[in-house]
Amino acid sequence: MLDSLNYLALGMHEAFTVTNIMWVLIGGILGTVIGMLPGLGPATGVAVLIPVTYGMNPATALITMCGVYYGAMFGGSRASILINTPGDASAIVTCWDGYPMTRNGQAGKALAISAWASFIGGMISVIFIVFLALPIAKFALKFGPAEMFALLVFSLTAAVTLSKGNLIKGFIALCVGFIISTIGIDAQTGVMRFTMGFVSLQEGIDFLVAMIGLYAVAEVFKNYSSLNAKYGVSKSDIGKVSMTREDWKRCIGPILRSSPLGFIVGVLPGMGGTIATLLAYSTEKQISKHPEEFGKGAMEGLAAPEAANNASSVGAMIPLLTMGIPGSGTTAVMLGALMMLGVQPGPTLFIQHPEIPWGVIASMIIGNMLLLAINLPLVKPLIQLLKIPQRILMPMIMGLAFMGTYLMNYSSSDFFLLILFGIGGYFMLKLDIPIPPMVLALILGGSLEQSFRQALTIGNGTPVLIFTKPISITLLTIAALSLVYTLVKDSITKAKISKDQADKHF
Amino acid sequence: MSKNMITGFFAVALGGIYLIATLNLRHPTMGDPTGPKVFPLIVAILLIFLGVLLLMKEIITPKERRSILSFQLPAEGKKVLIRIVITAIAGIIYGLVLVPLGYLISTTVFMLGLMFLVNTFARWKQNIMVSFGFSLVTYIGFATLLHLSLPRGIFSF
Repeated sequence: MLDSLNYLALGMHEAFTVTNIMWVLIGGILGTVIGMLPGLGPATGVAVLIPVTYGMNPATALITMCGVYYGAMFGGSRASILINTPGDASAIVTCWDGYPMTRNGQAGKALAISAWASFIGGMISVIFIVFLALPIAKFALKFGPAEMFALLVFSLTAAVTLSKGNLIKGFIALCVGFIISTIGIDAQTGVMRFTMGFVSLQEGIDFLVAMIGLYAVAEVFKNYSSLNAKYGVSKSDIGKVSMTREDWKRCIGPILRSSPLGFIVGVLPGMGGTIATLLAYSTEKQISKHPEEFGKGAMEGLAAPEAANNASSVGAMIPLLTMGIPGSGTTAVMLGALMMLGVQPGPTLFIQHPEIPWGVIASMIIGNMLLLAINLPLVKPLIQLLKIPQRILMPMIMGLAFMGTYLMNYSSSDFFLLILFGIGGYFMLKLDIPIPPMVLALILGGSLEQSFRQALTIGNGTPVLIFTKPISITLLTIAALSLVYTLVKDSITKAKISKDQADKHF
Repeated sequence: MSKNMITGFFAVALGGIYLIATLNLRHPTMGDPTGPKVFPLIVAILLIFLGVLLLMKEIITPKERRSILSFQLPAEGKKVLIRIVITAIAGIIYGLVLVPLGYLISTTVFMLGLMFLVNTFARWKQNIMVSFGFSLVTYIGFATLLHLSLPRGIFSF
């Protein structure tokens, strides 16, 4: 407890430098802008803005990326509320009541509720993170290869079972990610694997090239079919961006209930904001005295998912910082960028470089306040950006993607891979194959294989260690149960659908 | 062919190729006992299994419930594919000329290409302004403010 506060003071010292505050602000604004652009989510935002962090020290880089991440979440809510275009899956629930409020002429109120709910959700989560980060990191320090292997299996399974769509396709995406992660020289034996004779592939494929390709280039390709889509809101239909005392009374309960919920879901590895927002929304709908208003512009239906979403994105920093396990596409991109800078997040990071994780935690407090300050008064000029047509925006995103790839190694030889991943990602979108499992497998595949082999080595070539350690058994059991649960749930839903269809026919 | 069919065939094919490549790996006598082959082997078998499973599930699904891959209106879909191919070619050329020509010139030309591709020829003034503006702003931003070196090429400032 006291330790945590001491470290927080260290973090404050790190975060409250002029440079870092400036970068939180810049990152927050850039993130808000990118998150707001129709169809672009936080993962694309972070991927495109990675080059900004190349010249920085690791703490500043991570602080900036967090600013971009939270900014993109704030910005994404603007787009969901005003023009009904969620940037990623976790913003979908925001549309359910946010957009109806806009149509009811309450856009200003909706924007204020979303900003305050996000702010409070984020702040409550930061308090949790301060007291939980150290104990969890200390716990994770005890993890051997067997536990690590089980944790990775658990996270990856969770990422697949929770991603929407076909379960088998999710696992196929996972395998493709693993395949890419095995390309290059094997770390333990030095054997060259799957380089197909290309010298440039010996060191493996850079995660970041893959991620910029999958999240930026593929998104642009997807948007090539909707170049003439027009969005736009004039200043006049928004109204006053503020909440009345009456609004506060209705929203504070949902916000205070959804924040801890969102945080807990965010902390669980492999789970992202989507589950948090869905849970918060359905809980509020169930306990509401007027559930019939939900979906038609109920304030509670907007406040709850917004608080949960931000709370879970802060919570997601716990598995990322303490164990090096990202729970979503966005945090995976952040992990990739950190590894690029030579930082491997995990329990040892808290011991060897406490200023990095604690600086980030402290910066979240500043970031949240700055974002509230940006999003309340400046929202009207910012949403004018929604008027920029797609046909101008898309070439710029593409330009940034290429620039980021060049700056990674100061070489343009990766452009070929970038385009390849862009085209691959486009076909994955077209074939409804989820991209996040592949990205997570790509970045975690190496650790998964290493921990698997180390566990086998310690167990004299048998997997006995994996199935005897209590933590690893528990994690593997939960992973298996979540898989079975999803399969059963899917088949029940399917049976229901076919029964409904049968009922209609007869 | 339905989306799941294509995905299934793709998984089986990729898994098969990967399996052959794995079996051809050199087995080192030194190093860890598990070796570099086991993990890829598991992945390859899993991927083939998943592909077959997806194909079998799709075969027993009634035809009308299958989701077919389509590129919206045929004409529009073709346009999108052409745009993607042109972007890809432009990207490769951009990579080849970036260092010799320098960031400012090659990026302006690359952006001009993309802008004319998606923003129509009628808006040529806008295209030129955005392309020049983008290259200049990013060059100043990255090279001057962030001190990251971008290729200068034939310009020397």
